Amino acid sequence: MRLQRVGTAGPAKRRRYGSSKGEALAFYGFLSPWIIGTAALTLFPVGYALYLSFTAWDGVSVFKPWVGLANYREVLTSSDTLSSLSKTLLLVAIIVPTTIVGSLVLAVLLNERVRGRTFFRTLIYIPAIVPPVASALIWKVVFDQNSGAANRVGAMFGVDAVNWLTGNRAFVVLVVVLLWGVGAGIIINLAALQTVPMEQLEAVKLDGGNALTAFRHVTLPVISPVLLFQTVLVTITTLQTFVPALLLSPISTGGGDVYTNIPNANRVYMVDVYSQFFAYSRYGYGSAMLTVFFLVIVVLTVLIFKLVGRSVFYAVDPTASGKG
Amino acid sequence: MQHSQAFSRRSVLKSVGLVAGAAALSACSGTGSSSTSAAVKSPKKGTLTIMSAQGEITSAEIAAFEKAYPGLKIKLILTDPTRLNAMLAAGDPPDLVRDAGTDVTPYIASRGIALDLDEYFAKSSVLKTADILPINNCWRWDGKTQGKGARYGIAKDWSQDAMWWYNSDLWSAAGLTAPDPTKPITYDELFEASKKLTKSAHGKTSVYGLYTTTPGMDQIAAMVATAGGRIMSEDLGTADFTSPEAIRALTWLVDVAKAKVGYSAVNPSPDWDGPEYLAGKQATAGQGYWFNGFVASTAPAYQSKTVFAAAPMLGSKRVSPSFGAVGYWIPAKSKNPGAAFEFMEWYCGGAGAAKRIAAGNGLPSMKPMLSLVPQKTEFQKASFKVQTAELPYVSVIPVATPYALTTALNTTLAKDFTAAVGGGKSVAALADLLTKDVNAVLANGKKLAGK
Amino acid sequence: MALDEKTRVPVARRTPAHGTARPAWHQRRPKHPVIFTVLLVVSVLMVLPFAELVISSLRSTNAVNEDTWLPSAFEWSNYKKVVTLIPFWRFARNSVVLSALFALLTTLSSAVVGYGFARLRAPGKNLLFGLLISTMMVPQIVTLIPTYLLFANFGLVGTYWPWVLWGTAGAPYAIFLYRQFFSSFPKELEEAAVIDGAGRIRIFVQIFLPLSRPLLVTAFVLAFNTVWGDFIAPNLLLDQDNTTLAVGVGNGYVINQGFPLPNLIAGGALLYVVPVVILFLAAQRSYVRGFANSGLKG
Repeated sequence: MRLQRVGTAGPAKRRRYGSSKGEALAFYGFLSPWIIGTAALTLFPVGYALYLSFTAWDGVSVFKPWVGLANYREVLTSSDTLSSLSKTLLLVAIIVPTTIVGSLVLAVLLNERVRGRTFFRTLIYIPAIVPPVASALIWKVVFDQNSGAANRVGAMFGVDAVNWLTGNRAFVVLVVVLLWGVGAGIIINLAALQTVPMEQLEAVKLDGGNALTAFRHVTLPVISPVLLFQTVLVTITTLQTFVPALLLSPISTGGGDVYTNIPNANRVYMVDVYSQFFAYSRYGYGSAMLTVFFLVIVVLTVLIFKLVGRSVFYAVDPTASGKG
Repeated sequence: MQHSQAFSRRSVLKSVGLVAGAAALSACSGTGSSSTSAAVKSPKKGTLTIMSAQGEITSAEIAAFEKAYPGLKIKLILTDPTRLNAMLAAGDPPDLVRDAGTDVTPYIASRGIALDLDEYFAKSSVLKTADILPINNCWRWDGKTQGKGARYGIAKDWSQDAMWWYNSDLWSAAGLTAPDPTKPITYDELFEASKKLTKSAHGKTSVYGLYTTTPGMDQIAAMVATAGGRIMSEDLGTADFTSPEAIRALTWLVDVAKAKVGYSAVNPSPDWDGPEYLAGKQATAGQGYWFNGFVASTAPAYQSKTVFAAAPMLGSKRVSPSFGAVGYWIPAKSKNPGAAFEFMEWYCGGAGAAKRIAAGNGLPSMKPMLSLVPQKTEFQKASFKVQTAELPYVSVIPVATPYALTTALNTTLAKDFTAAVGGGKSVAALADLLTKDVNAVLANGKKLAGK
Repeated sequence: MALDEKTRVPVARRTPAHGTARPAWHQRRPKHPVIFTVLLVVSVLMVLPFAELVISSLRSTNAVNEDTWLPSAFEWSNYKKVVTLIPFWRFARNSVVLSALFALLTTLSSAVVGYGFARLRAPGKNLLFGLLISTMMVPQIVTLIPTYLLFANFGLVGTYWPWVLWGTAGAPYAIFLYRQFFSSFPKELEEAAVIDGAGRIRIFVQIFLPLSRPLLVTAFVLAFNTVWGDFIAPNLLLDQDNTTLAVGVGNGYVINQGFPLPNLIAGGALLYVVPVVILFLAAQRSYVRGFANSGLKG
């Protein structure tokens, strides 16, 4: 932005909208609910958590012993962190491409003139609005070893029943639960597909190109910002996967808490953080884990923008008037 | 800022025994120095905030209490460790908290977050100390040992949870002779019987012989205690899973998990023993006396074929602890401890308790209420006989520590156990791993306590 | 490539989308049998888990784990227990009130903030936009305890005020959508109004807000679903009297000793999902259009 303009911009320069000072005031006026709200409701708690990350607070005592960088040293050297982080990244590596490609393919199909497509669109979208609490529960029923539909289908093909909710198979179930929500991306893609100019698609066809060429040369560039936006969003939410992993775990019967029974394969990063907080009462350490994680998310997001962002077609911001 | 805050509050905190944090500054007192009991505060009218589990305190019970104690209104908050910690940190805790006495007493007492209730008990005409059954010793802490010293809470009702029940029809169908319900069988005998009771085909098990087993502190420590050993050290600062007794207990847990004769940490139950047992899919249920009331109310037809049995033994020492003795404690910063104690009296020893006990949903905390335990039906009579024979063997087994919540230890145990069994580790290697990891958790807690 | 034009087609003049001009039901037979089949299979797969949920909600308590496609006995009475074992309707009403309250506030407030980001210039704008994006990356549990302390300090625990405050602050995702949408209009739209002497607020209320109707629906539905689905915040901040259905259904179906009742949980989960599905079906057309109009272009 044009910081050099602060206070120097005369009315002559910005006649059309009044003074830029007035515009700046209006800008901050319009943003004030968000600025005040974010400062109090997000920045304060985040700052407080940052402070906690330098302490060894147990969550109940009044005293919060200052430990400097000890928590961070432990986060960066702990084998648990490394293991849960790698599981999380594996999840991202599976979920992000599958969701992006899957939702694009389905959106393209749903954009065709097919009978009942509104009906199909609705059915495919509904799982995306099912709250995570309910969706974890649904899949737990489906994948139950002794009475679940998954094993009953397996039995029809002569496959012996297996326990889906433990060991490495639990990770497969987690992937299924996350992919079930693919509909969220489909709606966004469908919306984007409707902005593709028909004339250009037809122009390609007139030039002798087939549907695939039209898709590659017209559709893909037009919807590329939407795909980038989704990639970033799905990456962020997948990294923060937590509720499904927690709720897919078997109900504890040993007097322990939910996190006691989470299979090791599903101990993704946020689960690890959660158990540091609420099983181990290590609020300082858990906070340090989260700070590190936040940085990981930022780095990944920037990386996506750097790697994918180049090939994205951008529209113009009307206020930027050539600057940006 | 932080320091002056800690100092200015120290006098207050010390009076209830908090040294966990302050010790790091002063290094003058040990964890949970002998505390002076809180002076009795007379009850005030107003709202009584109770943090309890879903469905436990019913709306009918709330109405009955509010009628008996006019001017008091109960506000329920669901049990949630995050919420509790947040409330404690904000200095505005609930007036009563539901917890498992066997698991939390050293932790909450040594941190000074729970009120020392000795003076309250001394003055109570309902919860007379002479009548309190020994199980409630698990709610006591003297700074070093659980089981002695000041009282921090009381059980609402309780059971000896290492005991078990079996389906006598399935038992005889498998060609097994019924064990004498009042004489404990060994864990090995139970395993052998379970193998005969289990029916499975094509990867699915239609009947499990054994009840659900978990590698939790309670279960392991209870097994080890019957062989005369212990897991936690005297000072509750370290754990040892490599003793011969512990190795035997771990071997059994690993063997039954591998043999798939019952649900376990590597083959978790879709729910709990109750529905599985009452659907005929489990031949045994690993529950204490309260299960009597559950069977009677949920599946009356099962009463005629359900038999209660003494806690199994690994060695020759008969010990039968409670895994919980769930009850209530009053936070030190409760705004209305007097009224909170009135609720405790009503719910754990008064009219509120009487109804639960009469329904067979657990044993009472107070000796005179033992007469309310139901003995009408054949089933109730038989269960009561077994329970009466088991009663003398109750004791507080050291599983809780001031340095970590039992949840923390159980989480570590479950993680290591599933990794080891799944990865084909030997029991000896598992024992080493558990000892190392649990001690790391304890060491971290000790460091925080300034020890 | 063919896309040299840098200014986007304004929404109002956008070319009719491919296929929408001729509704599908005019076709006698499916034009693409392969696509039809693929969509049919995917739709069925997406919906089947619900069928399994319905079936388990109808099994009797002692037969929840029976290994059959259909229950041996249909326990319709389970649904009576679902709504009576917990104060279901009270929780549902609380959820509706809280979700609608938050959604209403956040829809309007996000529009205001999104307008500011899209149409106004000021020093520090990019920095603030960066902050907006990064707040999307903060995991909820970072803020749990401090948020509680904050609200406890002002005596707002156990009230709906936190949702009012969160709503007023706007939601980053919605603000982002509005910003994209409002950016797509030509400058002339405001300039004409400025000549008329209209102030910023009037321009926003009279010109931009009416244009964004589909997006208002989209933002409302998204915000409503967020609060409806959230388990963590109500669990932390509300009491048993005024908590939401997410907490009620998540915790409520247990026997006195605290053990869960899976068939009732399944039934409760089903009833819990129904309102958001209905809301989506009712708002579907505008909801999809809202995304289309925002274009989500950066």
